Amino acid sequence: MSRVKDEKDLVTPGDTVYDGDEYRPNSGVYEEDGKIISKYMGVVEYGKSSVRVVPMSGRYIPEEGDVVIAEVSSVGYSNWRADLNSPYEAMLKIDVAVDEYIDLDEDDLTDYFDVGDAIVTKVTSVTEGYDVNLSMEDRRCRKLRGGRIIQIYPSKVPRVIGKKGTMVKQIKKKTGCKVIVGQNGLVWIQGENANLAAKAVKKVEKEAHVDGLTDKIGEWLDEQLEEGE
Amino acid sequence: MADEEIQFFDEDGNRVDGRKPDEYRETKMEVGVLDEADGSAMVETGNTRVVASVFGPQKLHPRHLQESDRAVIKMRYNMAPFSVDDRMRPGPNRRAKEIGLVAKKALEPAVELEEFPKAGIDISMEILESDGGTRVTGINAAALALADAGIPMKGMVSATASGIVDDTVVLDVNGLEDKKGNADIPIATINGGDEITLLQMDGDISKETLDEALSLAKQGCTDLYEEQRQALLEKYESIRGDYK
Amino acid sequence: MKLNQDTIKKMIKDGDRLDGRDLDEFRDIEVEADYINETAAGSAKVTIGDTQVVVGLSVSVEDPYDDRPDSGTIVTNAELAPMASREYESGPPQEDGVELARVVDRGIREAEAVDLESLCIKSGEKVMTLFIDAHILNDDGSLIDACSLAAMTALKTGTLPAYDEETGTLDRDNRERDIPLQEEPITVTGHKINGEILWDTTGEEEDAQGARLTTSINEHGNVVAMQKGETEPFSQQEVMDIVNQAEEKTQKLREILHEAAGQ
Repeated sequence: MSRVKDEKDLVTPGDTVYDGDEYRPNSGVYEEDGKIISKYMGVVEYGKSSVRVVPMSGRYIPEEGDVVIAEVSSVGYSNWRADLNSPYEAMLKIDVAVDEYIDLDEDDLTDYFDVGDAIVTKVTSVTEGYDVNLSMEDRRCRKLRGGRIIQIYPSKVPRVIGKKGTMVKQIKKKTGCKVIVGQNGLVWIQGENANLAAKAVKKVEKEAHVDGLTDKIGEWLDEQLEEGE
Repeated sequence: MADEEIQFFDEDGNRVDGRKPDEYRETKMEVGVLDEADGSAMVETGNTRVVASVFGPQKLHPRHLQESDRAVIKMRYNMAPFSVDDRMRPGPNRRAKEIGLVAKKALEPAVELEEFPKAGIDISMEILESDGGTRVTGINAAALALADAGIPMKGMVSATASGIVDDTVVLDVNGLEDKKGNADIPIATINGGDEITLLQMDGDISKETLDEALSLAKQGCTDLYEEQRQALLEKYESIRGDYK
Repeated sequence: MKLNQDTIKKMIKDGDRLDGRDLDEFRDIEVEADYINETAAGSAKVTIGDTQVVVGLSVSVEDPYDDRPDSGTIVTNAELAPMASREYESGPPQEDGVELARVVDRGIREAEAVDLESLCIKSGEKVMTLFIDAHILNDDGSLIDACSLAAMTALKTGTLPAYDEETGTLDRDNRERDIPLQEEPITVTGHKINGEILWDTTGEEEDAQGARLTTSINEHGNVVAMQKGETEPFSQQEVMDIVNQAEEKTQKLREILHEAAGQ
């Protein structure tokens, strides 16, 4: 066993994580001279036969299948462009955007989505050159109205959602808010206690590497609610 | 300071600020000091204080500067007007441009640029206080800021400068030693190892002295690399610690 | 994001803000005097919420202006460093930095805060120029208020180097006297969003604002400088409402200034 760093250990770029034959390099690491080395400031995770490092931070790089929150940035002749809070912009074509038939000569695309609109949308394809396509066909897709959007690191999204959604469900229940977490790290919150829900989400993001976080966040929320937040 | 004789070493062999030849100045590093930037860090080495920021990867404008297969780094080095005794006039200057370029070249080999085709990574170093070694302190801060921003790297780049004063090789020259000494040799390495990504030199020294200076500086880089690691780990370990 | 802008404008009608503050509530303010202690003649770092600014003072010797032979000068400059905000990367319109510097300057200059004649070394020949340089590290709104507070703290705690007659230069190791401060103007900005007035706006709130009014008030309660910004107009009533509220706000900041300066 040559686990130089163990499960849940914190590592920095250049740290050797593993030296041996049992594990292959997965994401967040590279191989050099038979050693597996971290590319990030992050947390070590061992799988059955591979090891990876989950980064503590980093901007969103689009992946097929991701359901994200985006902002429409421009309206074209037969499509819209949207900002995913990523270095790569995305395109939404009309045939996957709305159910009805749009007559390009008669109808105004801004009637459906206008610049500045926030939408929940799905990434359907990402080319090698990072041309990204979106679709509104998934039942989770919609235009967002009201509420607020905050930002967290995409690498922390799984923690904010929690195993089987336990973390986000807890936040929703205790604050009575609607919460939608985009894979790109944008989180939409609406409700009376939106400020508290937002703080809870940011707290999970900051403390994602702490054990037993779901309970700790639950306790913290109870305390805040008692203080009459 | 006309023809004043400067005593670089006292009778005990201590330097003007009390250090031994192979000691670098007291260094403080803090990661994540700015909120808007994707990554940031502040490094203080003696009286030199630098804040570095990283934005990216992000859209790169104008488009003709984009590279189809990798990200492009833009580096800015700037001295605040109050960072030196004689006010530094704000505005672009050639020295700053050159330092920006060598600093970029020092960090680039460590960054996995191919992971972000067409994108840009903007790095900025602001020198708030200057007392020698601003470019190497800036590189140390920038490397931390890149890690803080979650940008994938082969490893951490650390930098320091060795110098020659009174024919003695010293580590981490301060402002006075830099201005009045014989040579100034800033270097940077990756992971405190053997890959040198920054090397500059000005002075008048023998090859043997140069070799000695390089060894000393490399050791300094290795030690600073450890400090960088600690600064990064400290940011997150303290959060775990809060719950104990 | 536009969604947030719309929500900010809607919430403010009910007196609510995204972070739960009252409309006239300031975020946590921290002031550190003498932040740049080795090189600057005076300095301060001010943090308001996440906004971070550093002001440093420098002194040099110059010729006086012909029409004011006994007077030193003050020059104020502001650097919107690209690190302060992602928006700056595409280059802020230079006018933003210039306006910031001039508004900070105006409060200090019109109050005659610095005794310029005390900066005179030799009448008609040599005077001191005091440079006030503001460096923005992180922009999350309220830059004018933060820079003004930092500038006053730096002026209040800074010292002038002695002038060496023989060499005709400043001896920076010889800190002869305090900066000659004779007035204490405090500058605050009131903002208008959707018809409501609020104070200490975040970056997001400033994106939603229609107008702002900056007021500088000295310790005698007199208004010494004002600047209106952004595009929406103010009614006279709104102006007086802001000025009246400003007096109370400047009191609070004045206390913070005194504490930071060790008074």
